[in-house]
Amino acid sequence: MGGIFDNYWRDVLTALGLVFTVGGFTFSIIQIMKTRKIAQDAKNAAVDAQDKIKRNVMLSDISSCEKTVNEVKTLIKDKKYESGLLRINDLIAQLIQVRSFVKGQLGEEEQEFQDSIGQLGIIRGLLDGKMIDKGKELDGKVINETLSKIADRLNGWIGKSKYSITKGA
Amino acid sequence: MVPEIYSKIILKLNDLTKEGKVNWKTTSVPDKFLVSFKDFSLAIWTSYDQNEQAEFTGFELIDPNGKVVDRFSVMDSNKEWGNVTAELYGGARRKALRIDEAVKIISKELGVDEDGDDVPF
Repeated sequence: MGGIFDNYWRDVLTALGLVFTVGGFTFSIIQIMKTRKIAQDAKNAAVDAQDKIKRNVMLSDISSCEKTVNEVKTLIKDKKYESGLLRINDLIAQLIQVRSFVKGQLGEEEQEFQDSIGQLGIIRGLLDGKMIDKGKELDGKVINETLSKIADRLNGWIGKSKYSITKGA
Repeated sequence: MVPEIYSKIILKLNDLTKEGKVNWKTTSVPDKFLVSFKDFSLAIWTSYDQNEQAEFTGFELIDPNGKVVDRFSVMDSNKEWGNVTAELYGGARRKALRIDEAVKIISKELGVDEDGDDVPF
């Protein structure tokens, strides 16, 4: 009898052990899944925060470009071509930096960026020419019209807040 | 002469410009026009060569940093390319300055039909 009893309790204990093992395993899986979700949520929050920072920095950079455009316009108007040339170089560098933020995430705006840089490249060529040949005539009005168009475009980008960076970029 | 690497581009650009599909823009240089792609821009202009005593059409390739990385020119008298590049320049100019559009609007307001007559006054 004692042997049978022993076997009975041994089976009960084995069964209980199995139940606890399965329960523990299930619990572990649930915990792992919860932990993964928490980690994923934390990652998403970090990416969102990073995107917001990038976006704010970029909007600030675009705003800075717009200010530089207006500075160049004043310099051209005052016929301070050498200073204008330096600021044009700064402006091109700023635009290249802004573009690097959003590279591959733009549609038509890629062309608009390139157009602005191309237009500034032409103005730089004119000012370079003026540095070499001081007597060369420059039409400041036409240059400033082009710069105004670039400033308008920059304002448009800021106003529309077009460049929300894609998540996880 | 158009360098070989540009020949297909120039022909295609001329065809698309004729169809009004290329967005040429004015620049700070009155007779220079610009079209931009994703990473590069192409400028076209015309001038007079004192030595050759003839008109030519010039091209400049502008890189993503705004630098002119290549340039070439074609004399209008060039038998193979002169007509093509001059035609391209004319098309770029008309598009950038919206000349065709202006002519269309004026023609419509004047009531000019396709034969070019019938002004209503």
